Amino acid sequence: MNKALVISPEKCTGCHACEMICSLTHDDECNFNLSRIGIMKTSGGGTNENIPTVCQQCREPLCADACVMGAISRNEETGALLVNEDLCVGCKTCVIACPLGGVLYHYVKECGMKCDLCDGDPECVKACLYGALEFLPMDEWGRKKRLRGAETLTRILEIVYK
Amino acid sequence: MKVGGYAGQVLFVDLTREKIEKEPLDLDMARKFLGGFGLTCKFAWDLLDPKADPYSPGNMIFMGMGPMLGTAAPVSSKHSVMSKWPSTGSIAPGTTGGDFGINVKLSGYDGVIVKGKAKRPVYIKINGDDVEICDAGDLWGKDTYETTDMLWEKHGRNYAVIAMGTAGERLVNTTICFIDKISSWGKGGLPAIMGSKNLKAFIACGNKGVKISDPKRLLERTHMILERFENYPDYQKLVDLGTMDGFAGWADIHGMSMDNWRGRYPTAEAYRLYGPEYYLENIKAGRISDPTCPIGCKDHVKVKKGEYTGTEAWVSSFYGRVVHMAARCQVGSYEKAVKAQEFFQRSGLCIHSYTALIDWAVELYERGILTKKDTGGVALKHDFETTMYLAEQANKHEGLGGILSQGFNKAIQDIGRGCEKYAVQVKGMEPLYDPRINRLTGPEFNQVVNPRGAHAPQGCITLYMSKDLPAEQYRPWLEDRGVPQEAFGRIFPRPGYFNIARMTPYGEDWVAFMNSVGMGCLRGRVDNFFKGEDWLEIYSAVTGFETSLAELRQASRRIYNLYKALNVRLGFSKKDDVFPERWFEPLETTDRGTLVLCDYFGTPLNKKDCEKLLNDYYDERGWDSETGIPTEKTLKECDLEDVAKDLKKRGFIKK
Repeated sequence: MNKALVISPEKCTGCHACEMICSLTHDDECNFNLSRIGIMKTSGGGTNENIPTVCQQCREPLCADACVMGAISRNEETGALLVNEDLCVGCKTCVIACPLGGVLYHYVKECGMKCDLCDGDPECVKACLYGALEFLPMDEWGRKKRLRGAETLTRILEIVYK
Repeated sequence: MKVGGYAGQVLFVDLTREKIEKEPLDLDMARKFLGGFGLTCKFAWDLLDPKADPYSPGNMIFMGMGPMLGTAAPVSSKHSVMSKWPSTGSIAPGTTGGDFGINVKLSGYDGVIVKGKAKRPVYIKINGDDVEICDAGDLWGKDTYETTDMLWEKHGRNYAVIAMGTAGERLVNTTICFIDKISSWGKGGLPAIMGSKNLKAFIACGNKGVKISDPKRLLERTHMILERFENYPDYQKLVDLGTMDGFAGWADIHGMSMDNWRGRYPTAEAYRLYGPEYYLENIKAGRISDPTCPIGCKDHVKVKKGEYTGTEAWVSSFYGRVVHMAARCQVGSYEKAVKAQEFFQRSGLCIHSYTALIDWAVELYERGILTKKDTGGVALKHDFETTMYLAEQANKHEGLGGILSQGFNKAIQDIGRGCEKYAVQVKGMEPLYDPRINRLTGPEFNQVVNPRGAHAPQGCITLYMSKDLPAEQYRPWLEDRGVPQEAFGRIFPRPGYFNIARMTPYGEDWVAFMNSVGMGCLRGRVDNFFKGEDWLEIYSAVTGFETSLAELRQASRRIYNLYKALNVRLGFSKKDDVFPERWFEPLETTDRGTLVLCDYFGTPLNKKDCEKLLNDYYDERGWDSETGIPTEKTLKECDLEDVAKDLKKRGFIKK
């Protein structure tokens, strides 16, 4: 089972560490505009006000379907969808096709840009000590989500029966 | 070698001539003064007329973004602003986190310099090469929240916004700016300076990357530091509580003075009204972090019940603000503290400064120095109503609140009647720490000697460690930060003792270093996770300049001496480094007995002892102990020959 990059927006403090390390790893510079993951801040940017956005490595990827050059393909080992920069002609159709903002245009290299899961060891996850980013097998994520739901329910029950 | 870290340009904005110029950054100069705070000192020395009135078009705003700012290195978020502050008349830095500095660097600038005065309200927009002076007609009269929201609405949330509130428009001195509603910047009156220039806001958004000389080396060191945070057993507690993690330190272990430095806020009361459990349950809405900081300590707070339900604020150092609302103003509840905080932040009033003035005014009223004639018929008390009444007057710059809002220096003159006897201030700025409660350690001592005024952080070493540690525990920290061996005999003259006056300069230099390279946080909780070697590695990995701790320390010493010289040129000297009179009076507390001014080890200090400490400090700094002014020899050692020559010409250094 492939692991996936799992986001918990409620834990994101908007510190940009993931973006800085992503651009450092991929482009040898620090620049949140060239990061494959993006923190979208709303209002003041507290943990209840930030949404990390990143490619979800879809099972049926719209970006790959839209690419007339066939430049987006999956690495079966990591499950990541990769842009072949040699094949990419910079038409930006992949950017248009993705409904989640998971693919961006690399304005320096002039090609599609998206998360490659760092060959199966994502740097952004290591940089996020707040736990807003995790790299998990899907069954584990399911269990975690269930647990969180159960915790919420416990709190509600406590209030009801108090 | 590829040079990284520096963006390569300095941006000049002349509001009078509506002219924008860009000049390449002199890299040799940048190496000498590191960047950030150091760079602003150099700019201020070269460009700012010492005689310029803080409100005049001739006064300038200098912003400095250090080489490490905006990199992946943990806590690389500090940027610095310098100007001639209207509240104190000193030329001094203010530092902040937030997203503004990064965006200026990503736009391609290591520094921003603003001078002149716009004909009509404007704001400055920085978007890469595109820099514009824009019309702010519709923003004038708006508070910080409204200004920020309107600018986001217009330009997008990707812009970082520095907004001044309504008080700044009316040239209120005890004000502060806010970046994205959260990070405060420019205590001492940056909004008033902006107000005098018709400058409502700055916004920035950039897309040029910060170049890194050795990306692999930076990545390795970043991993190493992050692991230390991750493996810290209480890590989650730090994140959950933010600055409230220091609650016990404030409420119990040490304490906060109240009743204008005549009492200590009772521990039981602090826990009853402001305990961390209540905060987590009813006040905290979210945690906010400065760029790349693993223990974000900024707060999104929101009142969840009662009269002020829905009142919200985004605050840096919530606990620091609560301390002031709780102890100085005695507002009575968390909810009222947040309400007051919201008003202060919206109008742009500085909570640190203005609550001290309220505290002082209440004592003046109790003593009959101020009467109902002065207050507009209101009886001043330590309560929420008085706090809001005076804050609203300050915001409008009218009545007694308006007089107080100009800071101690001016208010003392305006009120007269011997009121200065009860003003606890140094150079016109309020201290934060009471050395009778905390004992005289680095931060307390720095409040006396800091050229800015009684601003504590610069003497930070002892802030980094629990104050009941044995003296020798401080030695490794100093060794680790490149303090020369020859100094240790003077700092630790005998076993089990250190001389705080001789230790403080090295703490000040260290903070000068961090503020210059654009890293770090004054809070000990962050520094505890770093070693001196980390900073060295990061500096070299980012910039490509190989260096040593000794060399970086020498640069910091140079910067601090230049900072001092800037203020010597304004006429500041030993006569201004004065211990507040009230610190020599015993402090009667309800739950800790009588406290007197003591050194770290509990030995009481009298005025003569403090005078001796001051002389030790000047001596350690290589400054003249009679005048408190850097000697020609010291300035020359710091490669500041031109500064020595200038001070000599002006008669500040004896020939």
